[in-house]
Amino acid sequence: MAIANVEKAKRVLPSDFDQIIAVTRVEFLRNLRRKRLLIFAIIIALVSALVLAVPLFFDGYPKGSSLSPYIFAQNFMAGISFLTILLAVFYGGDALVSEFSNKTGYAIFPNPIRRSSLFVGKLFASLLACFLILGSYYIIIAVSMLAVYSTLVIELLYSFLFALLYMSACLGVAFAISALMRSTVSALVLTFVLFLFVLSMLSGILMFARVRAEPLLTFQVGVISGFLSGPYPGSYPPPTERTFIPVDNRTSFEFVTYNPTVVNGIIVCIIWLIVSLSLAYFVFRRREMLG
Amino acid sequence: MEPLVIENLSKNYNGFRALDNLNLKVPQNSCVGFLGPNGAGKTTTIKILTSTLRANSGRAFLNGVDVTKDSKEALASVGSVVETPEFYPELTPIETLNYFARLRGIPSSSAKARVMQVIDQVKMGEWKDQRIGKFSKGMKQRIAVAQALLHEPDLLILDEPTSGLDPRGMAEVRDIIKTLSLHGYTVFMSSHLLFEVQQVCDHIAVVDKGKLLVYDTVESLSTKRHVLKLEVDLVGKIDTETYTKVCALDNIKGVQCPTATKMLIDFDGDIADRRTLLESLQRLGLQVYSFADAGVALEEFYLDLIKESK
Repeated sequence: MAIANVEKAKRVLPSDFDQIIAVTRVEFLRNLRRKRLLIFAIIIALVSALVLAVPLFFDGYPKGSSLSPYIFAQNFMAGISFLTILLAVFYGGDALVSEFSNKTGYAIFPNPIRRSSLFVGKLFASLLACFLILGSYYIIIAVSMLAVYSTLVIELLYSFLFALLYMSACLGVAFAISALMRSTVSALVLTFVLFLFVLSMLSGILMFARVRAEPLLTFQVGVISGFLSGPYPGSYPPPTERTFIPVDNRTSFEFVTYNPTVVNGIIVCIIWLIVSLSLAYFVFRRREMLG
Repeated sequence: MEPLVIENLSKNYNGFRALDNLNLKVPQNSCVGFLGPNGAGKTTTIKILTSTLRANSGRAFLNGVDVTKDSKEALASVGSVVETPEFYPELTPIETLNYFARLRGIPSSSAKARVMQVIDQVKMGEWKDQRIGKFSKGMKQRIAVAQALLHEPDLLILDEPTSGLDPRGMAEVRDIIKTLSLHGYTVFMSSHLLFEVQQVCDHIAVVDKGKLLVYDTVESLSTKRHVLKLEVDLVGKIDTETYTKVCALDNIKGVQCPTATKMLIDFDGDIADRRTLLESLQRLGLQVYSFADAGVALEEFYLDLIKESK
């Protein structure tokens, strides 16, 4: 049996940064192996194909106006909210809890690595995977726009940058839930329910009560497509839109739509990102391997 | 400096005191067996030492660094197996061990060779490129042992290292631990298997209800307790009458017959008493062809201790 002599030179531990890189690489490799990237690639390919193919069976792509490329790009935005939520759920929901519920923490935590390095490495790997998928979607939109209109609008870049910020905030919330929950499944389900039902429902209720849902993260998703309403800032939707629907000859129903503003959107996303990641880190750092 | 020092370590779980001011020092180059019944505090101690649990109070020094304060530095030269750890199922043993090598700062130039060395050591060469998700508990335990040895630590902390292994695997892991111990490594291992501790370790620490009951060398315990296990092999079979007569002999504390021709005798006496016992067995007409010392009768001793503690 090959056993080294115990009298050996003291090995120098790698820096926290080097360990973060090592964690990021392994977590990203795990993401690749779990085929989630592939599934998302198929989803965006199908959605893109649908958005590109359906108009061809009717009136074709919008043409004849300077706004046409914007309308074209907006068609791709219908599923962006769902895509960002799915990314957050699948890349954040089980990122932290799995170390405890799957007992992999018994192998990882006894290594000379700070929980902070593990946390940051996992976060980087999740962000990298989400950015790749979201980036691919926007590349498809850009290439299609270039092919159809021979032009690119700068607002597509603005939309992409905000989508990255929004998605990062969603991922932060998913990380916080992941740090707090006991099992992987409950973390995934709760993240999904929170984004798809709770926050969306709250947003709807507040709008019905004619209150702006400004503090809610999901309310800000409108900024992503808002950028593609036309040249920014001129064409960006106003904060409040009132529509009067006639009920009879004398009365009409006033329908109020609240649109998120860019500045508030950025501020709210940053606040959600910082608060949720701080909570996730605090819980993950202190959490014990019980059971 | 002792590689492992535990000072007044306490841990509560919702009112249940799992560790109660535990104090322990593990000398360099020793192999300490950590024994105790279920819920005694063995795994809690090991989890605190490996930074998977936080102590409520007290300190635990690994190579002079308090693990409750700076776990990264304290665990730098420690290899551990805690419970039966799970590994990322998407990775192969080679990828997993390379990951641990990077986390531990093993230069990539030597990591590859070292990873192959420990894989061979735990006899997992055949499965080195298979994903761990498909592995049995025993195979994962072998990977766990491999990762504990990977960086050639000078202190090994093992929580039931043979758990989940088949008899051959158990023997192999025990051999590895024994060899490491001979090569100057310090080993601190918990186990439920008394004979395993007896076979592998030179020191024994017994805990119950979070308190240390006894801590001594196997040799010293043997001298203090006098209760030895003697293995006696016979040519003929043992009948009930002979068995009763053997039980009635002087200094006999207990007799077990694992086979029809073998007796395991718990014996409390010195060398002269042992000679007398051998003569008495022959006078009873037993044809003894082997009469050997099988170590301290730990089981009796251990059960007595636990009984006293209750």
